[in-house]
Amino acid sequence: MATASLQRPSPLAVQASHAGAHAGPTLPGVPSSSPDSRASLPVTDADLPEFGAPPRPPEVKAEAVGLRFSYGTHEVLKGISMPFHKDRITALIGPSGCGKSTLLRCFNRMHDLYPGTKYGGQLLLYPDKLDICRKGVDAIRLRLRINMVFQKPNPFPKSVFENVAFGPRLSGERSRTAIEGQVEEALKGAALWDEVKDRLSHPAYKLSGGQQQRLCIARALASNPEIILFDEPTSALDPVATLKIEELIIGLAERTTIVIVTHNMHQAARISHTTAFMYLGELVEFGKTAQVFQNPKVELTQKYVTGHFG
Amino acid sequence: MDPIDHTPASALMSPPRPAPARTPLKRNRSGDGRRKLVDRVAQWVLFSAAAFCIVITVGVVGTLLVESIGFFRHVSLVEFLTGTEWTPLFDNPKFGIMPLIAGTVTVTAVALCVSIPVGTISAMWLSEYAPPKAREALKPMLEMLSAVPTVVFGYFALLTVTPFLQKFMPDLPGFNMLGPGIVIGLMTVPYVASLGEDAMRAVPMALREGAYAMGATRLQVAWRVVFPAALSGISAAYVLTFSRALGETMVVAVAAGMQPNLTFDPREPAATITAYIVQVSLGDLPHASIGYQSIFAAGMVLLLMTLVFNIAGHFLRKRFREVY
Amino acid sequence: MAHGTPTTEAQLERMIRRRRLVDRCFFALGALLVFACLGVLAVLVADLVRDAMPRLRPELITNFPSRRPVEAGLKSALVGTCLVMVVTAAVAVPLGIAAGLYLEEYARKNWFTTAVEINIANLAGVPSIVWGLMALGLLVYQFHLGRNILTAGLTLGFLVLPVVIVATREAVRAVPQGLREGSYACGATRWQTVRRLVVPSSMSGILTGCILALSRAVGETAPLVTIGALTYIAFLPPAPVKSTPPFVSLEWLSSEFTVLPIQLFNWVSRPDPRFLANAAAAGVVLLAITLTMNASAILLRYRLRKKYAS
Repeated sequence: MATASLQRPSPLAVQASHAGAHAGPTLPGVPSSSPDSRASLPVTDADLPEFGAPPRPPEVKAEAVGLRFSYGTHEVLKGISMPFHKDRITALIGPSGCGKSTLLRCFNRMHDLYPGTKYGGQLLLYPDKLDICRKGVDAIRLRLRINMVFQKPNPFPKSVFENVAFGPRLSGERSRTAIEGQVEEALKGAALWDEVKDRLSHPAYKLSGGQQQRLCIARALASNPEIILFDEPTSALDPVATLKIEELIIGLAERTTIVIVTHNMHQAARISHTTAFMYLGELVEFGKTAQVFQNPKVELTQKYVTGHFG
Repeated sequence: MDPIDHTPASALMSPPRPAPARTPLKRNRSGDGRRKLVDRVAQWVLFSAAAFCIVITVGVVGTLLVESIGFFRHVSLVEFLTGTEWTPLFDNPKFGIMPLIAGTVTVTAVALCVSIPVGTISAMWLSEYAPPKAREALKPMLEMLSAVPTVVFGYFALLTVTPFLQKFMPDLPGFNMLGPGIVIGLMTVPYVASLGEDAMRAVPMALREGAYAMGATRLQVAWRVVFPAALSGISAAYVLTFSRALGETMVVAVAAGMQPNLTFDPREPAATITAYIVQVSLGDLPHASIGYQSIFAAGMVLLLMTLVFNIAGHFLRKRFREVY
Repeated sequence: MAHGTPTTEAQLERMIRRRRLVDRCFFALGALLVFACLGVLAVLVADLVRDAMPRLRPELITNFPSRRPVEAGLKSALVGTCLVMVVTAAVAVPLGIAAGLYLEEYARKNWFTTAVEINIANLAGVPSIVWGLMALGLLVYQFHLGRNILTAGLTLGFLVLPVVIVATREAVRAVPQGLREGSYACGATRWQTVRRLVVPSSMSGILTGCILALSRAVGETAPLVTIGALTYIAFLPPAPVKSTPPFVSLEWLSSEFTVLPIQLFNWVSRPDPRFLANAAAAGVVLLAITLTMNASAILLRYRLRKKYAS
């Protein structure tokens, strides 16, 4: 692997525009589950929602190519092919059991924690085109690049500061001042700094539910990840906290790639750029959020977004 | 099944009539009364059983207190707490409890140096590293270690452990505090390992996933997340071990010697509070003599030490209460 | 960046590799410690058996203690242990089960219940020698019960009482609430529910606790030394069954006695080294009894868990 410098620009700094536009790669010969839903090509500037990001065609940060996953003999993902655009929010929606969380957990190889799991196909990470699902991939190195926020807030039994400092320490950071700086940046990025700056040494569990989840987001931010995965992050929170976190995620998307699994399709409609609808382990439809919700190409999608089942 | 209330619905709507003296029931009333009587009697019997526990405590504390008071009528508290010689059975008796306390503390310290590290690492290994089948098999086997009678451990300390230690420390006397201390530590490893493992396994997987997802290794997850989360249960195990080591009698009676000796060096022989009590009990002491009362005074000190640590442990648990 | 903080990919990989190595070392260390403890247990048993070899003959069980080591046996000690255990069980089992049932089924959350619970916790922590002191001061002298089997049984009964109570409570707690509710709905009184439903369902758990309690009592030495269990008993207590009316005798309760662990203690403390073999032999017998009891309790608990898990 090339010895790329680890001092990549902090996602908290707005990036300069890329040189040139990259078309999302289409790989000929890759089987897809349904012809209509094959990973589609870049959206044009005019279609982008008003998020304040500088208008540029989205490049691809990651791509699933015929991704399969099985638990023992039970096949959960049956060949998913879709792109995940850089610095955009991709939402995965679908009814229970469709495999969206499973797909999300493939990114940081959380399945490795449990026995009897098997990957198939590819899940490529750009720019170095690393196949995450390949045997022998260093899961620890991967998890330093891709972080996750879970459904129920799970702060560690430590102080607020130590929770957020967990990531930088894992990355090998030793200087106290550097860690303090990163913690402050992360807490500001998670819109929590003002609320906790006087309570940094207090135990994390004393925060409210919404604050704890924002703490978990700050924790994920602190190690400067390339992708942040959100697994139904607001399903355990009240509406006010939910709104705060949705605003936060939208803000984060300016500098980090985000993949969010949500049970609440209205949430997906509110915040995501692209949406993928999954059903029983297959990718049924993928496209710009507006199009998937207002003009779904597949009847099943239509049925789901209009609430016929779920 | 017969309904209890036989007032028909029509009666509720018809003009009110005087209510019958008793609601008519179709069951056997006398049987019902007897059932209730049995129920009450049973409740009182069980209650007295539970209340009896308090009576037992009063008995224990009361006995120690009464005899200790008798003891302190002849011996000043100052001499008791500050004197450095303990020879109550000699012609010119000395009643300084410090040598016994020193012996007790030294043996306990040696035991804790063994049981806490070994037990904690074992607990962590069993909880986070061992394959489930291995854990199922090994945990009961470890618990067997605590099933061995302490007098057998005493035999082991005297005749196997001390000679083994003498290979490395030729000057080690046959009676010493190191051998029994190590054996007591070994004996209490299952408390820490088993209770600690229970506490760690109770930590929810969500907490571990959060740590793994950040790129931690298994050791980092175990040490930085699971161990702090389980601290409440683990500290309870530590306190239990401490109490156990403090009150251990037979191992020291067999292998540490029974000579009171004011020293904190585990390589020397010494007597603990418990060994002293055994020594006196083996002899013939007239009831209500000063020697007889001295064992109660010593026992009182032991009980107070145990109580203090149990209370401290209780507060430790509250401090570290489960945060998930 | 502080010295040592990884800034290149290669340094990061080195750091991760080092951490993985430490992790593997810990795995080895933990396994080593666990197996070392079991190894020590094995060495203990092996040493004991080896030392006891010369005395492991039937005479060990059929002979009384003697001044001659070759002839000294455990007859009185074994009988004494059995009789003391009968009294211990008669005290601890009914009292413990009753108290446990009260605390779980009847007690309300008031100061009295809290007091009882704290009490039981304290009783569990009382060192065994202090129980001996209580027995000496209270039972032997205050109540004039004398230094006999009755006093010994009472003392050990109180000593192991917390074990029975805790086991009863846990077993009763495991009975599903739905079972009780069904019984109450049929019009049963509380006692009927407890007697006919709760106790039979939790019997295995209670039994496990009783076996563990008795196993603990068999090995207890300190309290019995204090109340003066003599160590040179060359007779057996009077038999409980007589051939003349009233056919049952309680004389044995007031008999002097010795028990197995005390005999061991006596033999190991003798200056004559030939008695060490006797001590080892007594140890083997004692160990066999306690380990068998513990093993059966654990087996019972295991079968119980499987039954409830399936």
